[in-house]
Amino acid sequence: MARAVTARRPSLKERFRGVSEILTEVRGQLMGKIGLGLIVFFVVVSIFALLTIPWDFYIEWNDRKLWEEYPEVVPPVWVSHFGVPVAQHVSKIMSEPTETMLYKRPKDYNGITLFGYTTIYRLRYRLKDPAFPQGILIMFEDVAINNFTYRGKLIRPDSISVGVHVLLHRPDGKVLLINEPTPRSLTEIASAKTVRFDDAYVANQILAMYPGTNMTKDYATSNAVKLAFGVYEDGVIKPLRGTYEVELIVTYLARGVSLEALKNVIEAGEIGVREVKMVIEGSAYGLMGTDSYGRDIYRALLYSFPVELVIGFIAAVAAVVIGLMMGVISGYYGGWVDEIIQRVIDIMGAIPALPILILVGAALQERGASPWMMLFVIIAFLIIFGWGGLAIIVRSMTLSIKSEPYVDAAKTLGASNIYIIFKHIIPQIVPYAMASLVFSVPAAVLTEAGLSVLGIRHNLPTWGTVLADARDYVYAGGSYGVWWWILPPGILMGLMSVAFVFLGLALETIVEPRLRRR
Amino acid sequence: MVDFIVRVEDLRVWFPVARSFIDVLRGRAKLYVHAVDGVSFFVREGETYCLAGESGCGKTTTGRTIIRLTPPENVVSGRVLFKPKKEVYEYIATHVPEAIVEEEGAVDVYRVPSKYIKPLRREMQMIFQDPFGSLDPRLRVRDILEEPLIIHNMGEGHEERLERVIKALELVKLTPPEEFIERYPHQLSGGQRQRVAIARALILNPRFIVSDEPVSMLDVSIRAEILEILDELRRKFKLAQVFITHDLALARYVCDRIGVMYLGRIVEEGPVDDIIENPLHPYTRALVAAIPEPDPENRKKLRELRIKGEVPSAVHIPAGCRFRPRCVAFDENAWVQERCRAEEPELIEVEPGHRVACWLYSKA
Repeated sequence: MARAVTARRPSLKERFRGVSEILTEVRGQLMGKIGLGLIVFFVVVSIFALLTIPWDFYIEWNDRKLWEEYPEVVPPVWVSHFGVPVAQHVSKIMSEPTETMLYKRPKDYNGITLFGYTTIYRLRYRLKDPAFPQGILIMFEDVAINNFTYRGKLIRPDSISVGVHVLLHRPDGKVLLINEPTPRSLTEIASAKTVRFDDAYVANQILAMYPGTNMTKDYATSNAVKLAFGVYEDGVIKPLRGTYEVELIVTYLARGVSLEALKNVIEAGEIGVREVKMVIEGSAYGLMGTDSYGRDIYRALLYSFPVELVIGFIAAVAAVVIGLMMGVISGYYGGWVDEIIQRVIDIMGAIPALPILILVGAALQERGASPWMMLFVIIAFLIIFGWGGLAIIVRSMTLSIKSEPYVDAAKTLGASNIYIIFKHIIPQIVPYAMASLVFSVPAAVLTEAGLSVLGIRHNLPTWGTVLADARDYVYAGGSYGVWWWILPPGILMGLMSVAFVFLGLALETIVEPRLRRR
Repeated sequence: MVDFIVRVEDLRVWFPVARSFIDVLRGRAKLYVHAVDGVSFFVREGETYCLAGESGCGKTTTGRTIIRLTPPENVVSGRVLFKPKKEVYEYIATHVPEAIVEEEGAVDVYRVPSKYIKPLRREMQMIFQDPFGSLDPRLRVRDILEEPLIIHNMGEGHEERLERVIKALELVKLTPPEEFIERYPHQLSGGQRQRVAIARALILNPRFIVSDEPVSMLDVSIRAEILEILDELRRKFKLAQVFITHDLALARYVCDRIGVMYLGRIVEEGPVDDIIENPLHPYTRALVAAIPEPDPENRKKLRELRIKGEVPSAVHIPAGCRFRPRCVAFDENAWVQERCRAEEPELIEVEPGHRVACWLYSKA
């Protein structure tokens, strides 16, 4: 007899029959394949970003000081593969001087006078392409400012006089002193930290290099870096290729302390410069170039992946779940519940969401709300104003499913309303809700980006923020040529939309079987 | 007093007609569709009682109301008494004593709040007209049949429930069951679907079922088969049944007693053979006259259909006898006309068990 049928629990696959059916359907279509592939790409990159970038990267991003050493508004380095001449970006941390010397009496060295205990840090730099670096920057990363005793006397760091000279040795043998060497105390050095390329000071030396020409001081000042790395000929500056050397010379002198003793405490690391960073800002940086603060756009874009996905998913999933539940409740229970829900939706529909969001955002910005708070408010707005449309459609679907005889049959069997809703009504609506979800994700992402561009900044580095920064730069008189700043975030947003829209179009055939071609 | 299992007493089911906002402002009276307007009858244990009548006469609403599918707010008056099994009776007696009608040993179905209705549901089931709509297209046969068991927490575990599902499929002759158990409704024929629906109604072992035109949407060729299964199971489980149909020939084949409904009221009631051989009410007469004649010799005779006009709207029921505007006997019998216009006739017993609601048969 028929006892051969084995009793078994429905397998996992059967329980998620709906989902696997949907996946099969999606994979069967070119659009579905592209969409799924892109979404997999976004998820993989997001995981990579989460693993490689700290979650609080936004703090670093918004700290302008940290980005000082990077070249500003430069394209990515890979432009060199397309024949664009690129001056390399070099950054080197040195904890040991290349050379130390002891000058007991003043000594002339390449046109400057050295006196005292002298440490020299050298950095070689090869300029291969005909391009100009953006500048030279010396940063004292670690300066020890302890007191020490010498012959029973207490010597304080502010009584140590420090001379800082930065020399640029050019391939043609000429040497430029790029900073004005005023002797300062060690304490001052420790707090100032950076030594910059002094345009006006260098300009004077440049003018002396070209005595016969009609070069003006202003011209030399505003093109000082270019002139330092180039040759002036007939009114144009040509990059001077070859090997340069940047030389940082730090001399220490303390009244009443023997130089040997000073040398010993400095070499022991008790006092003086322990670590310097020497930077030659190139004319290209990183995988995606930099913005007007020298920030690495690549890192912002990467950090954005998980953030955008989270914004899109939380906003879309929450709106769809709320819309689905509200629609089902509204349609199934009817009566005053239905009336209340529908009127709320009508009211929400009549409220101008975007202007209100802009106002709320501006108020929050004014009060210095944290980035996460801003993001939370934006997502909350997207959810609050996002569920209504779906709820109306789900309600009408529920009304028609509710009147199916099998719902009556379930009632006769004694099924509760909750049981009927979850077993008989929601399963019918889920495919539609899925498709709606898929379209809501890019909508949420684009709204978030749009808000950034409109000035509601949450200050997290996202595609929208990067794009908004680029807009600010261009509006402030910058060139539209900053393609590495404008295109990538735009393309990424577009790709994300395309991914979800393609997936949605593939899902549409599930929702509307008449569209099926097979 | 007859030993009934279900008794309907003066049941009125009215559905409000939606008014527009402007109508409400103008203070227009709320209108109702009088779907069922004073119906009383009873069903004995193991008996099949037919409700017959044309579309819109309220027979389906009556059936749905007995099974408590009509929202309580639409049941304007009357009551539905049902005698459940002892355990269920006691369960209701302890939880909702006010729903018990002690002198009858029955439960007033509409006084049981939905919270406590579940055990009662097990006792009274319904077979729906449309086998294409009454099965959820997303569920397999096994899920459909397992559903009532899960809802009522019957059967220890999946295996035992599956055992019962297989038995139920064998009962309705869907054999071998393993061939059907994994199928979806769209993979079944209409007859097979209706058999699944019957199996679903019977898997809970009810005492009473309402069959709402169970074969009217099936091909003629498989109707007999379904009716046979239904009849066999009815006998086997001693089921009481309310069988709703518009087909008097079918009613004669299936039922013991019949109630002919017109515009929300029973106009004639009695043993089915009596009614069809000797219809008394002018409406029943017209219905019986409309039964197709199986004898080819008689077909050529021109039959007179003794009815006129159209069914009036159930919103505005004619005053007096509600059949009057369509009644040919009314025109022919001037002596009753006054009463017909003035008063609604009650059911009067003219022969033992045969009752009719018509002033023509009123002795007084």
